[in-house]
Amino acid sequence: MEHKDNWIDDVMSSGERINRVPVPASLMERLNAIPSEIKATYDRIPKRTLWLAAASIGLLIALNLFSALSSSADEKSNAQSEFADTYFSHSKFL
Amino acid sequence: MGSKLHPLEDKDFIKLVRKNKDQAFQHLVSSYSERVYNTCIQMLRNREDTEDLVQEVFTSIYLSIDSFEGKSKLSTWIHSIALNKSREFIRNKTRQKRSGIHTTLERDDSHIVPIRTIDFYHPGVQLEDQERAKILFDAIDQLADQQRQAYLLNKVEGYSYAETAELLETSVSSVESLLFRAKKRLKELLSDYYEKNK
Repeated sequence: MEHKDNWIDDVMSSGERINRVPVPASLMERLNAIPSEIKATYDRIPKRTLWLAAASIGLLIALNLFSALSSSADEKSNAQSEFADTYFSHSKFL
Repeated sequence: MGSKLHPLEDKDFIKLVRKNKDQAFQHLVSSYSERVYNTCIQMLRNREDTEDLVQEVFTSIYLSIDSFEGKSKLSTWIHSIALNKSREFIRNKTRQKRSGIHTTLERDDSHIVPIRTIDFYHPGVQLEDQERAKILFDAIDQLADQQRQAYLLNKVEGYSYAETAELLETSVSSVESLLFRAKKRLKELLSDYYEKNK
């Protein structure tokens, strides 16, 4: 029992003996190169492709808006004609 | 390794970001890379993975540097990015390993036998402590997320209770409670390991 407790204490204290480690020089180089690498990635995408993508998104939004507006207008006119039908059929019945 | 700059006050850092983003980033790399590297290596214990992860963390920092508004401390913001990226990395790695042969996870009712990783690497562990540290880290991996973070920050990385509380965005009393439960659970896991292996 005592041996087990000592072993557990020993294992747990091994974590407190861990030294802080410096960053490897090769990694520091990679980190310092991040801004230029990101800029290079953006530069690799042709401007024409970016404009085409933007235009496609714009077109999609416009089509969606158009479709949403026209369907709400249809619903409105349907509701109006439904009301008129009910009204006139009721007065015909009278 | 690059020379270390004197850490900037958070408000001065925000000003620097607006003035010169790249310079602000170089400042972060110089001031925080060692801290991030040590946090990541405690989580992964694998050299290549740690280097890839640290690069990923700093890429993420560079891409979101403009969004830092000083609502939390800069060190807390960086630490939370490092933690989130580490979790994401471990999740992906675990998913890959489940279909591979690198780890075994055996469940025995209430106790989980520590995962045995083949590729344990930690440059900060002294040679004579390698085996013990490996067992300890395997047990630490079994702790609940918050307990593990608190234990690693306080017991392994050596942050004070107050610093640990700040990095975890919680109170000192919560950290004390997390550490108490973490130590209790670790003792249970190690006792279980001892019974089965010694």
